[in-house]
Amino acid sequence: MAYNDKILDHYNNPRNVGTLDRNSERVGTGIVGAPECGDVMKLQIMIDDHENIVDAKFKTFGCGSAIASSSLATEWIKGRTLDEALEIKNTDIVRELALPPVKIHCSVLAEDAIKAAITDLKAKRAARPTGAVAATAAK
Amino acid sequence: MPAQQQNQKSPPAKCTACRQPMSSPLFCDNCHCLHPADGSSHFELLSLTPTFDLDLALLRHQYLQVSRGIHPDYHGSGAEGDMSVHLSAQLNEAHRVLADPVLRAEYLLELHGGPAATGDKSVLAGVLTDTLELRERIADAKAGADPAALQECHAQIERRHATALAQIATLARQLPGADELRARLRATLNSMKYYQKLRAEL
Repeated sequence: MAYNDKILDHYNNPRNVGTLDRNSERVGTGIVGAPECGDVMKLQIMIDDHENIVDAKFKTFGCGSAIASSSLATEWIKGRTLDEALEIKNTDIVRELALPPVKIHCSVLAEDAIKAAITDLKAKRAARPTGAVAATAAK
Repeated sequence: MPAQQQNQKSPPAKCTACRQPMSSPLFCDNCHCLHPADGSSHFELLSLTPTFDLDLALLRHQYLQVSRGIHPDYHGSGAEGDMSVHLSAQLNEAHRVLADPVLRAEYLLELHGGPAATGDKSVLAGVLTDTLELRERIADAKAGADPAALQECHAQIERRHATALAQIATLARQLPGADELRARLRATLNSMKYYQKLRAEL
């Protein structure tokens, strides 16, 4: 079976591969996995003072579709607010990359990773007193 | 052999064709006719008691014994031949699953009502982060052509794998157990997948 050009493009030239400082209060980290194939995906987001996602990075150890799905996810969430990022559904990724049915779980993984990163960020910020982020940024 | 008594199930029913007792539910020792086994468990196909602690020598013995009785070479063509092929495939699958401790635990969990892998993807705490870190270290070791670091990763994966296998065995021995036990076995089996994948790739 031939893979769709968009998958191949993201697989051969993955966007936003890397790591953000997971200890930063502006960074949320989501780590998710698919036990059926043993794939793991880390997706990180960085926000500004207005909860806009200014940067996103990922590292995926898995198949080409999982790499392409997470690469696309980081592209899509950059520039969005947290709430807007939550609107991304795995079906959007399936459509964009024309993923075959056996690879749909890869897109689910990417959606779960976005959610996990946002949950992590919100939990981190909820644990801090209000204004802590601004104070850190002003230093 | 005491283990044989421990693991082997009581003799099945009589042959529907010749009314002689059968030592396997799949074929008659007397008239050699085949008996359908749809709905039978892997353990039943091999006349074994469903338990995690299988006597592997007995498993092998039963497998060979039943294989011989139902083998397509002895059952010609036509409906009898088709049934022989079908039963042999079932038997081979049963042996493949029961001979492997992880697959056996997975199967026993399924027999005891799950949770199934398709519905419950939970893993033990820290496993995903651990897997990711190991994979990053492997990637770094490979990029830096550092055989000592790679060797260390390999040793760590082996330890994780052995620990998970021991946990699976401990939990599978307690089946059916309570819901928490089965959920914990599910999570441990799910965690094992990550270490198996790592192991296969390194």
